[in-house]
Amino acid sequence: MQTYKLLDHTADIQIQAQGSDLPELFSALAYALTDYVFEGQSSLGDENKVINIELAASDHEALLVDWLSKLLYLATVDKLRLRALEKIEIEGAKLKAQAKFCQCWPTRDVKAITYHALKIEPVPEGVQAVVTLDI
Amino acid sequence: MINKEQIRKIGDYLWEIPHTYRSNMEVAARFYLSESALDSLLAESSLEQLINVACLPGIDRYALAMPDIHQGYGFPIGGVAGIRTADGVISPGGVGYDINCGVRLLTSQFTLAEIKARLPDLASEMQRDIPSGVGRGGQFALEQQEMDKVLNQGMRWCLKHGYAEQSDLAAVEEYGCFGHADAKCVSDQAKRRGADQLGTIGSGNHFVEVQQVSSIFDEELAAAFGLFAEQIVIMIHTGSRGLGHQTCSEYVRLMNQIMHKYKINLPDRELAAAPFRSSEGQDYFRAMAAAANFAWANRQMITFQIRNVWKRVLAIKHSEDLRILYDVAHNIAKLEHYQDREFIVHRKGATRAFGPKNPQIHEKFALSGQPVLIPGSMGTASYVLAGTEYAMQHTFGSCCHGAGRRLSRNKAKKILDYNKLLSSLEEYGVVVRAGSRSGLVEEAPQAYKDIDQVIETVAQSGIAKVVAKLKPVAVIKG
Repeated sequence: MQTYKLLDHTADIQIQAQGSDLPELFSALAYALTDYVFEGQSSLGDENKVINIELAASDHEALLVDWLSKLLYLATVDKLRLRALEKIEIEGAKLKAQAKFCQCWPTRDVKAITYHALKIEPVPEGVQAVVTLDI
Repeated sequence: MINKEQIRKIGDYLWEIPHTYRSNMEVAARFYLSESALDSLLAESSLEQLINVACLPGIDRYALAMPDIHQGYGFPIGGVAGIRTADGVISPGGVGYDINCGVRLLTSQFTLAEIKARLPDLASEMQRDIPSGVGRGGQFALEQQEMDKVLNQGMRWCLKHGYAEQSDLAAVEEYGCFGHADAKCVSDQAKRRGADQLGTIGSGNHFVEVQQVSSIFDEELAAAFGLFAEQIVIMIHTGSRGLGHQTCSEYVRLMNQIMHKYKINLPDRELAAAPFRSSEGQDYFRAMAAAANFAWANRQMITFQIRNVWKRVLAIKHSEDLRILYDVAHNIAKLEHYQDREFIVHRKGATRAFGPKNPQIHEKFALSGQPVLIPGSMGTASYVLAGTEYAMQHTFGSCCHGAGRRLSRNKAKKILDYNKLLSSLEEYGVVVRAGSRSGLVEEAPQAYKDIDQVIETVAQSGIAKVVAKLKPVAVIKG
């Protein structure tokens, strides 16, 4: 089960999420970032664009930052909002995903996904991470 | 976490954590702070971050923090590190995600009384002409070739295209252009991210404010800066926008990947660094310079738009009525010399504050020292100060940059009411033009620490001299 919540942070935004495994965690954080960046935006483009994403990093935390940074870039530059993650596979520190996006204007500005205090940790329900966004 | 007993008081406002506190510290860590603020500082993680900065290879004398120290990424905000270029590193975390976020102050010849009736129109037209917030691109969208010119030339590009006057460049740190910038070191993704953002303010704590000189503390310095009582001035606070953020992200990522080959081990990934003289270090140095040039060009384009609004609304002929007093960067790394050695001085949420007779600042500031511009949060005071010889000797010519947050954005939205905030700002005499309700509440004065206390500490410790206090009369933000 994917869950996320926004934590209280003095200057920026922190998202805490869980998943039963890494793909679910990455998926939960993808939707959390999307919800934040497009908060309150009800106007969605009709056409869905399918994008394949492949990433490789040195470890899972770095891979997570790369993953969310990619989604942030698509949102900020191409005005693409994640609608559905069709597939997400993580093997070692490599990710392959296929996702549907639609045209949408972001309502919030995020400067960057940071590595600040980032650790993917085992919890009884699976895995958990807290990601800090510099806004 | 460090406790009070492990910190030595070495001056009325100066504290030190000795380098023996942790085995991987190269130097001590020092910070300027009033004693009354120490307990709340100890409750944060910013001192741990400062201690981590003290671990950077090549750091000289001490890791330093200004009295507005608060938690950042890698470096604390308010952090200053003088790192030897001969054997030291450069760290993107010591500059920040908003490369050359900075402040510019424009001075006019008008008093508030003379323009008060037109203030709402001025504010409305500035809001209309200068995009702020999210989603509104600027009117100066750049193709790749032109973007590269902006990155390499900074304000010189603006001058060539009629958006700046020659006198503008003399009033800006580095004369508005880092000569070592190289657009080739900035990725295509970063350029795309900034392509429609030239001449835009952004969101968060960025703003354009019309302000009034409400107090003058040093008549001589005020006169040297062209400031007088009740004068209308305009402050711009913004940086390199998405281009800078993307550039920093990419180089933090790169440096984390290659650090091991230089046998650099650091306690925080956000502090990732490469030897200054390595190819990666030099690439970042040039990319940072290019993003800084974009930020100076950005503040110049906003200046151009403000001048147009000013002329139009006030029906005056000559926009030179609005002159740049100065423009400072508060997220930057610069090559500077102290005691015949070369340093790459990182300022992360800290402002350069060169004292009198420094050859790196324009001769018009030779007697006064460099103007230092400290923005307050929305609805609170901003300050103009002047750099001192004390700063040159003790802080790598550096000063604070503002007041940090006290309340999270969530808390601010929970406890502060938009309509009451708007009323209180209007009662305080501030015309507000904000792009979003949540944006306004998140940036309320109550959400920030006390800027007056920060400035008092700066003045008492000798880092800078207070020249004038500025009160906002109109705020334009996203």
